[in-house]
Amino acid sequence: MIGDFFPEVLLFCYCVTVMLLKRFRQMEIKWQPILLLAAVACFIGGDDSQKSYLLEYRYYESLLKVTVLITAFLICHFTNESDFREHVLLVLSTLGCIATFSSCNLVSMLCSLELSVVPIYFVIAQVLAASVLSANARAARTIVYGIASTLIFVVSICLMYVSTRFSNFSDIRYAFSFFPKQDNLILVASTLMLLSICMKIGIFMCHSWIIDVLENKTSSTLMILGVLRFSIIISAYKLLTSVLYHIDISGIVIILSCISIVFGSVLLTFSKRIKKIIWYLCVCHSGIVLLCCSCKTYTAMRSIVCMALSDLISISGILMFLLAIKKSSNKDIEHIRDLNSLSKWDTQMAISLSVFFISMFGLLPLIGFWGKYYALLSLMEKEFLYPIISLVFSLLISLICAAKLLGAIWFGEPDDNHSFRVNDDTLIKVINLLPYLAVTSIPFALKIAYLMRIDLYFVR
Amino acid sequence: MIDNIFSYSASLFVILIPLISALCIIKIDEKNLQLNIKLVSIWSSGFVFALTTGLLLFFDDHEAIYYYEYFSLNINRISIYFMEVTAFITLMCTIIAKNEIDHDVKKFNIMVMVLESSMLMLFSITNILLYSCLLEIIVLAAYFLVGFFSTKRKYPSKDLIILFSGVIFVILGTVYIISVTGVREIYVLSKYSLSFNQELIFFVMFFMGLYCISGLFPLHLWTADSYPTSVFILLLGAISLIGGFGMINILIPIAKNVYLQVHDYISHIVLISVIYFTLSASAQRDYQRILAHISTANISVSLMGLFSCHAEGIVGAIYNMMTNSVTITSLLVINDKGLLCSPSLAKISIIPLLTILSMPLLPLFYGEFLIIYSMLRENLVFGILLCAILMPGMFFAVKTFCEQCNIGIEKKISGYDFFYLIPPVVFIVALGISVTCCSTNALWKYVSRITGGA
Repeated sequence: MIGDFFPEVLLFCYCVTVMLLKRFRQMEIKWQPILLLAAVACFIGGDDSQKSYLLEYRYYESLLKVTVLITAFLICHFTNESDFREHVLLVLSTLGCIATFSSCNLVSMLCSLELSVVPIYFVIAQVLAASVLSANARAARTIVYGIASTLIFVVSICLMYVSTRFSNFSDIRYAFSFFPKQDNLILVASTLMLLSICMKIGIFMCHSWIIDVLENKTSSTLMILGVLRFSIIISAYKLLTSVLYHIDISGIVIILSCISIVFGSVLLTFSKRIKKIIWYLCVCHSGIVLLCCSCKTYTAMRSIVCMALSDLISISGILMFLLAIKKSSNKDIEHIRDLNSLSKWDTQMAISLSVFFISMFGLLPLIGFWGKYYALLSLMEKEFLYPIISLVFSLLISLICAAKLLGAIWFGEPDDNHSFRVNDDTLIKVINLLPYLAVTSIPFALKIAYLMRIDLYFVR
Repeated sequence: MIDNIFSYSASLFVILIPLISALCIIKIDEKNLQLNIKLVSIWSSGFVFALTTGLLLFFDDHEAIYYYEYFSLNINRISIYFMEVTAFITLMCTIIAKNEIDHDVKKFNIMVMVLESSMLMLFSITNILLYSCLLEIIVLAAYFLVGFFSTKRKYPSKDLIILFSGVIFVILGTVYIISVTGVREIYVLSKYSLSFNQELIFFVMFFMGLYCISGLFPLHLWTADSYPTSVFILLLGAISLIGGFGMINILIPIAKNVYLQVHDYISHIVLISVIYFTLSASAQRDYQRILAHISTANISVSLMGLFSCHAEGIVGAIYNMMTNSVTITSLLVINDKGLLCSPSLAKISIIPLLTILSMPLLPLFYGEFLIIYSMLRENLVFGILLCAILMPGMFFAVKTFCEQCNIGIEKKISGYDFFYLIPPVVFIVALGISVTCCSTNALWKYVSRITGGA
């Protein structure tokens, strides 16, 4: 049992130790490899014989944790120059994220989500001290929005508990299966829960926080859009397939998702700023994830895992690259035109960025494609016609944006004012390898990891 | 389980050689050893051509599918021809590029090798999902070739959108058929009994995708632009094959009932394409545009044969597509080397020109003859219209092409240039002989089998 939660214990002990050392010995220790160590522990630990809470087997759960830990390690490395407090906060947030995957009741999910979000609020709060007024407003808006969604979630949990007297996911689902007729209180609780999910995921009409986050400090942006959103998607899946499983809200979810997909993909084609492109892609992908949640099939679950992994790797990768370019060339990448002639200066970086973007737009054979492929399969299984049409429409229309981006990276005319500098940083070289190792090979890696874990289980 | 280990290994080797060459090219220093990069790709494509020729000569109909647990290959009577033509076109492309491409040599050769490998794999795989995947890789490689080497445009966004829209439709068709049947093997899918509506949905999506990729009217914008000859050979010669191959090998066998019902309507659509491209080919003034329009007209004619619903038409379409690729390649070589300027070399250069004009005993004649024959049987008006437009149209197009070739050529023609023309001419003549004399019955039998006697 303790083996299952070894990574969480490890990270917690690390945070406590470094804070005590700072407090009593005035020593600042920032040891990022602890996250990698936790990932390794996650990979070999755990018990395969047990089924996980709603994520089919523990194997999926630990793989999600491994991905989150590796991404968090890279984020910590990238924000190395930031202060000690920020480092500890990022590790604490990671701890919250991986705890979310293991949560099996509403209260533990709330606590772990808050543990992952609250440290980020502190990081963002540092921006509030800055003198730029617009940055202040955006940072404040992000925090207020986050707290509001949490409050709604808390109210919904309380109402759910009052009406059912259960807080475990499996208990609530079991109870609803026996008493299919729900009273008004349960409906209100479910609606509020759905609203908080929509707010946290960033679906249409609840999407404004994403752009606020994108304008914030980079480490918090990376953490929220990369890691945190990933754990929120998995939590949403857990809620929609357990607590809200027997409550008939799929109609609303499908309509919201379809609007979100179409809205995101249409605005994507008109966007020229890279941050806005990421924003609209997030909105569109949130719609796809919610659609899959409403399908409630095994294929849909695979789609959600693939979509979440794709978003995690691609968004973190793109933001890290933009940060790397800013560091090495002192060039702010705001618009698509700023990426002009990148391939002429650094082909490897151009290939990596293209791979990330291609994966985000869902083209073959990268993991983004597999997410959309399984989403289409599950929608066809359920014969949802309008969602299929909206998904196909989004796939087709987002090609315009993909063409613009690839065109700028590979065939854009060089800009005289700014030029890229060839990167000699070892870390950037390592990150250059990420797309090939991670994005393309994840389906194979999943299989290998599964086989290895079975072997380890028998050896033990 | 491997049925025939030798044939399987040879086919796998054919697919892997270009990929291995591409990996070797990555490691070669472009600044100092540019010639080595070119030689690696020439030798590699030459070796692949020799191997595919061996496979073609010793091909055994009874050992067509080589099953292996993870990666099955299906070398059939049709795919072996397409593989041979692809290998030949890539060889010609690398030979021409040796003197032509002097910038981005590494990128060019890697793209060509990836394209060749993907195309050879596409013609031999049995998995429909892998087919879509390879289609996307081919389209991406073509997009980068267009982007890097087009002299007019630097942002080939329109090309990418058209080509990728095609790929997305193909993927949708693939996802649909997998969701309905749960099967990915093309051979199994062709035996699967689908309802008419299921076949119709698959047919519409797959056909739209392949139509976009083939670049027929009105989606032909990407086919004609200003490229170096070697790039143009690949774009017109090789990529035009994949649409037709997908229709023959995947679309018609899986959706037989819909094919029988809707072939007449599709003939209407394709006829517009034939008329448009034939007329516009004769009206063009730029030699690349003339060839692009001739090629697309020939592909449209092939599709008419394909949707004539007769085995003769389908066989004619296969010959037409293959011959079109080789003939266009030779015409590009003729123009590139200015061979029509020399009276002695012009004599041999006349063979590809006569092929385009469908001269008897040359392969295009046989293909077009079969198509027109089957069209006359199926729809008399269409058959007559095809004859009336195609022959004069091609004549005027070739006339304009000859005029263009003689204009503005100042370079001295050496006897060495003559050798560039020998391989395509020999290939055309060999194809003509083989089409007229041999293997036709076997191909007809195979076509009848895969189309279920349609």
